[in-house]
Amino acid sequence: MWRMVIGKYKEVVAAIALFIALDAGVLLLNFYTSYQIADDTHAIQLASRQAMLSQRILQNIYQVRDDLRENRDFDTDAIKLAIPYKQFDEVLDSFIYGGALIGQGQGNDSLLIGDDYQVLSDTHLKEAERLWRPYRRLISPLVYAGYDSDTDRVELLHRANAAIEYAREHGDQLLESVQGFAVAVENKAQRKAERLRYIQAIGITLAVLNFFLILFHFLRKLGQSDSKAEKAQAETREILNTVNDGLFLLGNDYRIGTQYSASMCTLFKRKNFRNESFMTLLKPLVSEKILSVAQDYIDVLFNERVKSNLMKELNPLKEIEISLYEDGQFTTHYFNFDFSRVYENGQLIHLLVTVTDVTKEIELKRQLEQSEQRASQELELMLSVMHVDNALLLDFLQGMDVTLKKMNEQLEEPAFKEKHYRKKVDKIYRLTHRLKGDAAAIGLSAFENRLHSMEDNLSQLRDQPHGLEGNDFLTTAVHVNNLMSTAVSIKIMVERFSNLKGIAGGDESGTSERMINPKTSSLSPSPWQTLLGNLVTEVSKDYGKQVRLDLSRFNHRLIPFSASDTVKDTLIQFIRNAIAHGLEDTPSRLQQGKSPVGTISVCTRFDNGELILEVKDDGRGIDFEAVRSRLREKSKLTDAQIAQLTPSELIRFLFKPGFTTCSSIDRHAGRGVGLDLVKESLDELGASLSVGSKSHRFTEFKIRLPAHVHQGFVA
Amino acid sequence: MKKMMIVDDSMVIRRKIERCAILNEDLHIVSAADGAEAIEVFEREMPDIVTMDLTMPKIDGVECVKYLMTMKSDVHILVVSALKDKATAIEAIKNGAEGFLSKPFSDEALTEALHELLSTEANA
Repeated sequence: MWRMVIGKYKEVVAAIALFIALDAGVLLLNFYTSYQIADDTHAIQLASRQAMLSQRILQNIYQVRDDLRENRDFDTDAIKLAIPYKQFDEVLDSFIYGGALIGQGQGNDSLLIGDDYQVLSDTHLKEAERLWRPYRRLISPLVYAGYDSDTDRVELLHRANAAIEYAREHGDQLLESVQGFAVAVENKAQRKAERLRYIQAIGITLAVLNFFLILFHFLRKLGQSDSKAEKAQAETREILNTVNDGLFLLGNDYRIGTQYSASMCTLFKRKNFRNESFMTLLKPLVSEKILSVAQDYIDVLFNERVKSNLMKELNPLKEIEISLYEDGQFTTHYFNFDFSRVYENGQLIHLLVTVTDVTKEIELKRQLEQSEQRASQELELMLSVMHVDNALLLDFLQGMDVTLKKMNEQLEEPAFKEKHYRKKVDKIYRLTHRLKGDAAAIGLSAFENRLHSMEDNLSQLRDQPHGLEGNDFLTTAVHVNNLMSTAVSIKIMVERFSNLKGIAGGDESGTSERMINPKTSSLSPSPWQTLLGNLVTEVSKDYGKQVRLDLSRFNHRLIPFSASDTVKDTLIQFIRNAIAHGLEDTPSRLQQGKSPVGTISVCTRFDNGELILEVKDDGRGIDFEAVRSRLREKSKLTDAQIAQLTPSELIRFLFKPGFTTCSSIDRHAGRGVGLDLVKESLDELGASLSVGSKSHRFTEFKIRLPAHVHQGFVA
Repeated sequence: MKKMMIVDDSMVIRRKIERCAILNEDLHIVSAADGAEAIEVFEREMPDIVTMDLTMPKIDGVECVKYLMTMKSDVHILVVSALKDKATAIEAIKNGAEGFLSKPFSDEALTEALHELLSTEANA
């Protein structure tokens, strides 16, 4: 790491190193100089002292001569003379020949007087030496005489006088040269000091220049690159603040990075994510299972061996439903989390996570699916409608209109008590059942299915143990609405086709008139036959029984318009019952020696002014035992009472609502609702009903329509 | 020439993968129809690449992957399964598989997946 730092900034480092070197250099020089100056000062001191010493020497010589003249003891004075004499001699010697002056240096160290003093003061020193030598010769006996008591005083006096004489002659000269030497030494020292000052000045100037170089050049560079970095950071900030998706970096410790887009706060309805664990963020929003799979997924993405391109499909955090709490309530959103690997220097260091709110897209998708579904259902409906004869269809639609209106009335009728609601359910249920029968009869299985599911819903309501209320009818209301709108579209479609037919011109104009005009008994010859025939075909197929419909004695024209709906419903119900309950399956019939195909015959005839309709099947007859056992199961009668019931009393039970001997419900039978409806409708019409049955032979239902009903009929 | 093992209980799918593999890459193909056979064939042939169907009956795909990885740690395994079972697929990848392909897959998707797996081979 240090290598990297130094490498990047090597210019700055070099400049700073130079600066330090120059500073160190100057400091070292100062250090050295301080020693030098001390030495030079000392040398100057010594050189200057020579003048003083020469004077003192002369003084002492005078003293010694005086002592000798007056025959006094001269030892003390001789010794006094020795000191300056030696000092002068030694210093002069050192200056001329170099050498150490012991005890004269800095702090008791020896002072080494170098060669440079010799060269420098050549003239002065040489002069001094020349003058000193003879002087010295004259003085030395005086000096050493102090130590030798055996000396000749006269001789000594002579010498002293000679020395004094020499001093008188050459003293000034000696003084001059010595002083000159002192000055020279001083100058030399000064010059040295000057030189050192120059060098120091240069050193310091360079250091200062270097400093300013660093300051301006490099700091400027630093400033530039800093501002570049700031600008880049600012741009990144701008991007992160504006981008719609949530963006953040994820480390392999699941921690969210310090930089993330501002949208994160709007998406998750929170303020701070820094350093938070991604798992902690997700925990309250998704199920345990998803959280665990997500963690595994992230682990796997951080494994470089795994191919991230082949992992996209496994992303468990795609279009996940989450609940967010905001303004005191929970709202549902759909989020997408996308993961991309981030590499730096060839190493996988982070995952870049993109969070997108796809709620709108999902809802749109749902809506699209729903409308596609609806469209295909409609198409199915349309197609099935197209197979039906137009007249039958119109008839059916009319009936449906009436029924749906009745249903609406029921739905809108105010209800206050439980039993009112129950009555509502019952009524609507029966209307639905009847309509379903109609739809089945003409082969509109799409409608039939819809009505069957409506029935399911209503029977659920019926079976509901606790209280019913208005809201429970909502689904039914929706169903009714849907049926109404579908009916409208079918009517439009039928009309269009009819018009087309009319335009295409043709032979069918008569039929089309009959089709559109609802006032007459709108069914043309075939429709009753088609209707009943279809019904038999469908129902017999469902029960796997072979059935033949005999309409040879059936004349639909005898049926008055006002009664035709009721009659139709009744016939449908009886035929269904015949196939479901009456007729046996083929094997059973063969066993009994009957023909394998069961027969249902429908007849119309007049008797005493009354119109009679008969539906007879050649099946097993009414199974009174089954009725009895059902009563035992369901009713409050005792076994004894049940055993005593006559067949006709038992038959009456068949027409009670909810009564069925079937153990299971299918499309056609089992709900126990058909016959009671029939009875009700017939009662409304003023018609009467009778039932005949012979065990293993036949069951017959007979309707009598009184004269006032069928006399409204127009042939 | 690299060796590839196809593990799938449907012959049709095995053929499909084989055809695609041969058309696009230079591979020698061996195949297995269930987990036990897969292990046997793998031990014998030591292929470089394996496609492993995780939706086969009677086989714990994840265990199979684990076992294959112990036999040859640098084998490249592609797990194939329906998208319903993401958790199992991720588990298989945690245990050494390198990629995932969802069923039903198109020829293009399979080609790309094989290519991705093989490109590591080149770098390895």
